[in-house]
Amino acid sequence: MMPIVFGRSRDDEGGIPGLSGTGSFGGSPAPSLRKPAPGGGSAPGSDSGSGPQLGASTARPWEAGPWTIRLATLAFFAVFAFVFVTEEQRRLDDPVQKAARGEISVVGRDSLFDPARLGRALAGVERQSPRGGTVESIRLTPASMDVVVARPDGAQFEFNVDAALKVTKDDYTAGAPEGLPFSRIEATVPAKLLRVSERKLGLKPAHLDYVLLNTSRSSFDGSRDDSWGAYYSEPPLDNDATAELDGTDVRLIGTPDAKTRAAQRASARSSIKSLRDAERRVSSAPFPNEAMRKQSLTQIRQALERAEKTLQEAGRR
Amino acid sequence: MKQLRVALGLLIVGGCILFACWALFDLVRFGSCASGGPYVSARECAPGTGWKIGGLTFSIFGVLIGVGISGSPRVGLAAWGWGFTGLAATFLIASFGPAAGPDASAAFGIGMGTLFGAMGLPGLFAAVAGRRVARRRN
Repeated sequence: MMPIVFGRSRDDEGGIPGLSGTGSFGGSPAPSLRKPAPGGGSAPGSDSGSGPQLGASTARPWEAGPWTIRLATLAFFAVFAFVFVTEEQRRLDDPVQKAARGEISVVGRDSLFDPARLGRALAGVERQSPRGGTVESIRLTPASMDVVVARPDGAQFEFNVDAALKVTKDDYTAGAPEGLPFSRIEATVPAKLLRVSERKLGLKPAHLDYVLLNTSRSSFDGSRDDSWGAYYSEPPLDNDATAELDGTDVRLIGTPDAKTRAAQRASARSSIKSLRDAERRVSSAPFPNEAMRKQSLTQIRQALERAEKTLQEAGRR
Repeated sequence: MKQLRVALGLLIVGGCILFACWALFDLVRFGSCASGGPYVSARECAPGTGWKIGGLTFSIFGVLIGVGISGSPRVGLAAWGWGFTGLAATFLIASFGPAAGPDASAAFGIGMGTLFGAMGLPGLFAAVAGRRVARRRN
């Protein structure tokens, strides 16, 4: 059997002076199986050595030993595994990547509905906003927030905050600033809106599309008309909730607000009082005939029923 | 000197292949994107996408240079094995890794993983089984 040196048969080494005893990478020095030829260290494939002479046509290039390759292969795949395990772990922990995988839910730890995270996100936007800038609108999802901020001269900028709370700024448009200062935005309100919407209106956070802050002024008297809105994908109807800026008066969009309901209740109570008074008078007053009294009483009672229904609805909403 | 050349060659080959696999992994994971030009991109490329693509291309030349420096055909064989096996693993991890997104294509991962695995594994085995090959040859 041929002796093996560094994974190669002794014959293979013929004509490559000085290879014997040079050792192998990654391995322990291998025993020299023959006397090193004088002139070792000449160029690979060189036939200038005084060892067994092979013709230039039969000379083989110098080879790395198999143990060198084995150890290098092990090292390569170890580093490969380390790099990819580290990279995967980084991606698993990265909030932006989590958002891309749809792993950030409304109530999750990384959600922007968390008041502390939302507060930090708003602070980040405020830091990059122009001096005296007002918040015109906010669009909030569990993994991102878009804020339109207006400069006092009317220039508007859109800020995007991602799940890692990184803020990017873009020019947006121009318009009369009607928004609110940052100090008026309460970071606890969106979460409160979602909680109350679920409890009061049966809207599930899992079906939420986004939450919106609308800021505007009344065109009649210039009073502030700001509100939060929560928009859901389910159920198909009656799936949008709204609340005041401070998160109170949560109701379905399209239904009267607390002020209007209070006015409706007052109006209904007044009507009920008047109608009961009228009913009492009609009952006791002399009428030309009984049929006319009956007809009047029927009409009064129908109106009373409607007023009571209105009162009930205004109180319930 | 020869040992130094082999060590340097293996280091360059390994580094370039590792970089190529990492860059490709990042690009495959990110998916299609566009940047620059007069149009608004629906999906902007992540920062560094350009140099990753460039580096991926140049790493191929780096591998060839590394093999040349080593002057050893077995290092060439190892480079082939590491390269294609590494790419196969890269595509499989990109499709089935724990951080793979819902839009990761299983068919793409299996297809590319199988193709590159079939190309790389024989080379890898041949490179690491040099002694047996030598025995059989003799």
